[in-house]
Amino acid sequence: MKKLFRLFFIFPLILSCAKKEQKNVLTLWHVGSEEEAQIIKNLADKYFTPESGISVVCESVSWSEAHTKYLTAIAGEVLPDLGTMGLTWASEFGYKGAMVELYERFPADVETLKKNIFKSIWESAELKGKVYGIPFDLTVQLLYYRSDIISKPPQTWQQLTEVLKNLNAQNKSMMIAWGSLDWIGFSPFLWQAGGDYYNKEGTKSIINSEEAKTALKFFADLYKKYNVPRSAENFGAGFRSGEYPLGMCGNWLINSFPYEMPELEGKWSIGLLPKGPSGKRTSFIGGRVIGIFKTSKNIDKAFEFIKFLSKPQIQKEIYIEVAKTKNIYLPPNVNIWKDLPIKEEFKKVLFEQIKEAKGPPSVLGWDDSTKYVVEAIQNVIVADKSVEEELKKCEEKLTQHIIK
Amino acid sequence: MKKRKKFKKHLISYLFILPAFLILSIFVFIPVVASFFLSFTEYDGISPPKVVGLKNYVDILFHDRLFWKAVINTVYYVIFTVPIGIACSLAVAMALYQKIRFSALFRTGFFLPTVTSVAAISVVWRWIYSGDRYGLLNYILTKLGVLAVLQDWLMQPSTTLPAIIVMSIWGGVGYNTIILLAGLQSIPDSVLEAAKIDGATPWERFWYVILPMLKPVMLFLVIMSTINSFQVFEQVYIMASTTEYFGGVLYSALTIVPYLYERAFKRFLLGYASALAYLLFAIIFMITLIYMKVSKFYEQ
Repeated sequence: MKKLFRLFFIFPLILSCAKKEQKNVLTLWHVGSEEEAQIIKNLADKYFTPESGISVVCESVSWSEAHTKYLTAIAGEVLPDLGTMGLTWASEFGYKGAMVELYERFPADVETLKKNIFKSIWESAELKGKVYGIPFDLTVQLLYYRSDIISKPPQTWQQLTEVLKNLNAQNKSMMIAWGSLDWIGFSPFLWQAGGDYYNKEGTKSIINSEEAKTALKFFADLYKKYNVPRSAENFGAGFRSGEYPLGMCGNWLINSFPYEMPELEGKWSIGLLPKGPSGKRTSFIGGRVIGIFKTSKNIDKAFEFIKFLSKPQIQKEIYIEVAKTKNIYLPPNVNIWKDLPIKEEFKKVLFEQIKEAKGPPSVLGWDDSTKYVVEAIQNVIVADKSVEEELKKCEEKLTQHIIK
Repeated sequence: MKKRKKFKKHLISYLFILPAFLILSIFVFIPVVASFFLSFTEYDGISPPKVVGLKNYVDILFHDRLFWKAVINTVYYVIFTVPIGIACSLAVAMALYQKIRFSALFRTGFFLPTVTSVAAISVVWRWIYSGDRYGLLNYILTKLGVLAVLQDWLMQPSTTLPAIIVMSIWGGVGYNTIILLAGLQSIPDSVLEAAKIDGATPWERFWYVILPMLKPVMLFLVIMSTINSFQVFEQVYIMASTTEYFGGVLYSALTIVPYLYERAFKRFLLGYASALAYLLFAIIFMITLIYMKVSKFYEQ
C-alpha cells in the first residue's frame, strides 16, 4: 500500500517540482502542423541547445483553435515562453498587454532583423512603431495557370477579362481559391486599383474612394459576368480537370500539386497577379510572426531563439525539411532567397510578388471591422446592392471601429 | 431525530449520487450561475469583469441587428425542422410497425445518422451541397434534368438555411422514430382489435386510436426537438462558415448559438455572450411553458 502511495502520489509530485526548476527550457507554441513543430524542435536540438545549453519544447496548435487557445491562455496566465501566431495577432495580444514589446527591449537587434526582412510583411507586423512579433514565414497570393490551356497568363485586368471571356466560351472559368467572397480575395484588387482601407496615419477609413469603387465593381464582375464560382473548395479538382485552368490562391499549393497531380508535370505554372489601373500588381501577403509572452521568465533567451530562427542557414533548413512534408515554408529573410532550392521559374515569381504585396492593415480595430468589408462585398455580389452605397456604409463603420 | 435516521438510511444512496453531483456542479451548475452574473458585466477574459447592469441586454434587444437576424433564422429553422421532422418520423415509424420484412435492417439504417456525430454528417453534406459539377446534389439533379443551372447551395442566401434544414430533418428522423416505435408498441393490441371489429378503417384507426394514444410520446418529442432545434450549432458552424465570415453568406443561416459562440469565443465578449445565452434560455423556457399549457388544455 505504501509503495503504491509513493508511486501514485509522491513520484509525480517530485516530477512536477523538478520541471519547475528547469530554467534552461523554452516552451514554444507553434501554430501549424505537428510536422513543422517537430522540424523546429529538431533544428533546436541540433544547433541551438549545444551552443546555448537551452533546450526547446515545441508544441503544435492547429490554426482553427489557435486564436481562442491563446486568448484563453492569456486570461489564465498559462502561457509558453514563445509562440508563433497569425500576422495581426501579436499586435492584438500586445495591445492587451500580454506580449513583450521587442523594439523597446532589443532595439539594435530588431533593427538588424528588420533590415533583412521583406518590407511588405514587416509593415503588417509593426503597429505604430511597436513590434510584438518578428515575421516567421510568409504566404502570398499568386496566379496559378495551366500552361497547356492558357498560353500566356494575363498581365493586366484588361487581359484577365479577355482570357476569362475565352474560357467562358469553352465552359471554363477561374477560381478565387483564397478568400472567395471575402476581404482577402478582394484586397489585391483594391490595392491594384490604387485604393486602400485606411489613410496612411490609420486615423480614418478611405474605402469609399473612386479607386475602391472601380475595384469592387471589377471584383463583382468576375463573379457576375465571368462565372467565377462563389465557393472555391474544389480548386484542386477543377484545376486538374481543366475546367478551372486559372486560379488565384496562396503559395501553399506549389509543393503539393506535384504530388496530387503528377500527370500535369510541366503543364502548369505560377504567375504574378495582373496589373490594375494603377499599374501595380499588389498581392495579399499573410504569414506568421513569433513573439515572446510577458509571463516568460526567460525573455532574453527566448529572444536568442527568435534570432536563431531568423538565421539564413536555419530558414533554409526549415524550407528543405518542410518541403519533404509536401508543404512549403517561405522565409521572410530576403538574403536567403538566392540559396533556396525552389524551381528558378517559381522563385522569380514568388520573389517579385512578395516584394509587391501588402498584408492586412496594421490598424487596431481592423479584426473587428473585417465583417463590414465582407458584408459590403457580399451585398454587392450576392444581393445586387449598389457599390456606392455599400462602400459609403462600410467607410463609416470602419472609421467608427478604429481603436485610438 | 427522525430526519437524522432517514439521512442515515439513505447515506449509501447519497454517496452514489455524490460523484455525478460533484461533476455536474463543477461543469454545469456553477458555470450556469456564474454566467448569469457575467451577463451583467463587460468581460473579455483578461481584465476583471466590469459591472454594467442591464447594458448587455439592452444592447442585444435594441441595437443588435445580428441578434434579431439570428432569432428570425432560428425560428424559421424550428418551424420547419420540428413538424416536418416529426411527421417524417411518424411515417417511418408506422411503416416499420407493420412488421415488414427486413424491418431490423431498416430500423438500423434510419438510426445510423443518430449515432454518427453531427460534425461528421455536416462535412459529408457540405460535399453533397457543394457548387459546380463537384457537388453530389447538383450532379444528380442535372443528370435527372431537373436542374438547368448549377446551384451553389451553401453560397446563396435563399438556399443556405433550407439546405441545412433538410439535412437536420434527415439526421433527426432516426431518434424520433425509435421513440415513436416504442410508443406504438406500448399500445395494447386489444384496443386496436376492438376498433377493427367495430369496423374502423385503417385511416380511422390511425387518426382516432393510435394518434391519441401516442400523445404523451409526441409531446415529449415536440418539446425535445424544439429545444434541440433552438440550439442548432454544428450544422451552421461547419456548413455555412469560413474563417472570415460565419453563418453563411450575408448571415443567411446565422442562428442564435453560432452567434453566441462567435461573440464568446472569437471576440471574447463573454458578458455579452452570457446575456445572449440567458435570452435564449428565456425563449426556450417560454415556449416549453406554452407547450405544457396547450397540452394540458387538450387533456381536459
